[in-house]
Amino acid sequence: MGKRKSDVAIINDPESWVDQYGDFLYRFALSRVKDPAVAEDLVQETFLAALRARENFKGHSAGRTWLIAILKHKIVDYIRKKIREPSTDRIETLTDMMDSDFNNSQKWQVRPHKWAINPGKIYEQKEFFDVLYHCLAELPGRLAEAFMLREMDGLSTEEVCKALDITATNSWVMLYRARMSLRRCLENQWLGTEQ
Amino acid sequence: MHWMYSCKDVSRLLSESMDRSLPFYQRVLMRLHLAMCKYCTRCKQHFEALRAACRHEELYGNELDASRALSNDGKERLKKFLKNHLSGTS
Repeated sequence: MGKRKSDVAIINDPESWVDQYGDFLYRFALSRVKDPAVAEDLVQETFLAALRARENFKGHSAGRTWLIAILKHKIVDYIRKKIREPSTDRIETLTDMMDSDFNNSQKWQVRPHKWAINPGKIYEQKEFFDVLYHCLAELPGRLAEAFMLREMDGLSTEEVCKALDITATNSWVMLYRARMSLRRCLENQWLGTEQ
Repeated sequence: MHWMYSCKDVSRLLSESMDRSLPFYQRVLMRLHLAMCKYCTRCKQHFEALRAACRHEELYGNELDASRALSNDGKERLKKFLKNHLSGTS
């Protein structure tokens, strides 16, 4: 309880953020974007977004976790701008791509590979996250947002629907498309797979 | 939907089962298909690995290179930035 209180107190005191969280956020950003200047900019953008949203912070999670969640979205936005060619922002095109996952008899067209890594320890693979962030940035923005809210931020499906103003059915479809697309993208770009 | 699910059906239901509780008959038919189809089983493992990785990302964060830190100049810039925004001058 005391810890939560102090997190709320820290978030309510933005002038302490740099000393409290600056280095951790910077390291996290640097691990994803490699460029120190960009990492610092992303920390600044995260602080700015946090300043605007800080009254929403109720201490249900640690302050650091709350800020990292904001930072992750900023990182994906940054990579998306950098690659400048998000495969498409039209979800219909993604549907066409997904149809190519299956043949006419609805069996796998490109069969899922065996990932040459212990799925439970996947997060220990540094390069996995590099590829994952790149794949997220290639998704249509709304799909990436839905996926990140659900899987990275751990929101319930109801909370995702509220945040994106969509129906439950819509959220299931969007999350399905995001997962299928990420699965395929990781398989194409990540070396940790075998036939 | 046909009583025998296709790979396409199962991939969709695998994803949905991570976001909602599926009706009993759908769970049974999905499991039946999974028992016979190694590619859908891999797809299931991939979805689960994605979730596990995303939810454990912060563990990875704890192992970040602690020698990398904001420069003193960088810290000053950020502090000034926050201060300016708080006082509404920026």
